Amino acid sequence: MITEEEQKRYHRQILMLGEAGQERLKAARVLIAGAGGLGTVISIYLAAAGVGTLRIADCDVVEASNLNRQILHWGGDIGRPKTASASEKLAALNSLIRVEEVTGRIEETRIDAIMGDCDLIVDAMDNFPTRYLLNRMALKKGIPFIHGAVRGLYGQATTVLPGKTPCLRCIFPGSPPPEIFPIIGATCGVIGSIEATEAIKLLTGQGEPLAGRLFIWDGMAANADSLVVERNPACPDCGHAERRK
Amino acid sequence: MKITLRSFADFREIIGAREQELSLPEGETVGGFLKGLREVHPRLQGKLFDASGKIKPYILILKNGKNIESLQNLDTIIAADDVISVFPPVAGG
Repeated sequence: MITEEEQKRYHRQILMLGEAGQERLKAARVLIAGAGGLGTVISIYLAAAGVGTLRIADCDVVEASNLNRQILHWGGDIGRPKTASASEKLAALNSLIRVEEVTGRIEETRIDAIMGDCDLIVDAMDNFPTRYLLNRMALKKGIPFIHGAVRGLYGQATTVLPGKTPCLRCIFPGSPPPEIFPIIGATCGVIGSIEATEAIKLLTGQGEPLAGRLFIWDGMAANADSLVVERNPACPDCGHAERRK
Repeated sequence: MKITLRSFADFREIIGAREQELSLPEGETVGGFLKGLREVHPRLQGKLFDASGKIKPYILILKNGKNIESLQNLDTIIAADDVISVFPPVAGG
């Protein structure tokens, strides 16, 4: 049930989502995996949109070199856990939602506790091994997984719908080598906003998801493009599920 | 035969076009095609190929949307009107 306060606050989006759509956002529980460049953008927009529960997982503390892009972390937050810094700002932005902090590394032994009973996973990680773990969890639970990644002025995004689309491992069988990657904050804004849009669409049933397509942002040339991507029947993460059919 | 090459990010910068039509001999493989491309664009060495001359394993090479790893990899035969896409994934967040 949407309250009068919520009707006022979300009026401009209720115009397109309807009260039923707003209620779906209110009832949703979303895991945002990472509170860095992507995670701060994603969580601001999902908090502002009234997603009822945001569960934010991160293991790091705020460093000075984060401040060019991680827009929920400010100068006074250096040394604080990113989860605490983010949840404080999000609570101030929208006190009508619940923000849960999950502080610690996302790893196999803790993944069930980290996931809780979330309806959706939004990827804001900075490495592929953890993304593969989240991808496997999404496949296991049959919940959508929204992928995004950035470097410099380039970015990519896709939405994985278990059983319907290629999974992350089908699209990216191998992970790029770890690095201290160059990044302009605005690139996180582009890709993080696309991920937040995908989350809102999936939760409310609006539009067509970015499913079976890899969105590619080329900020150097100011071009957006997409590649059609297909499932790999031999995929180590989802291929056996396909073979059983 | 005519094929289309789609290049993204660093590859688009090196090759100088997002999309271009190219002529290839019948029966050309993806591996042969990419080596030929390196002769035309030497800067692909280091970006697409590693020091030993192998294609970097994480680079996405798609034939009509299918990753060549799920086909015959670099031995995949290119046919007329195929679209070959070369994309370097990014990993940061």
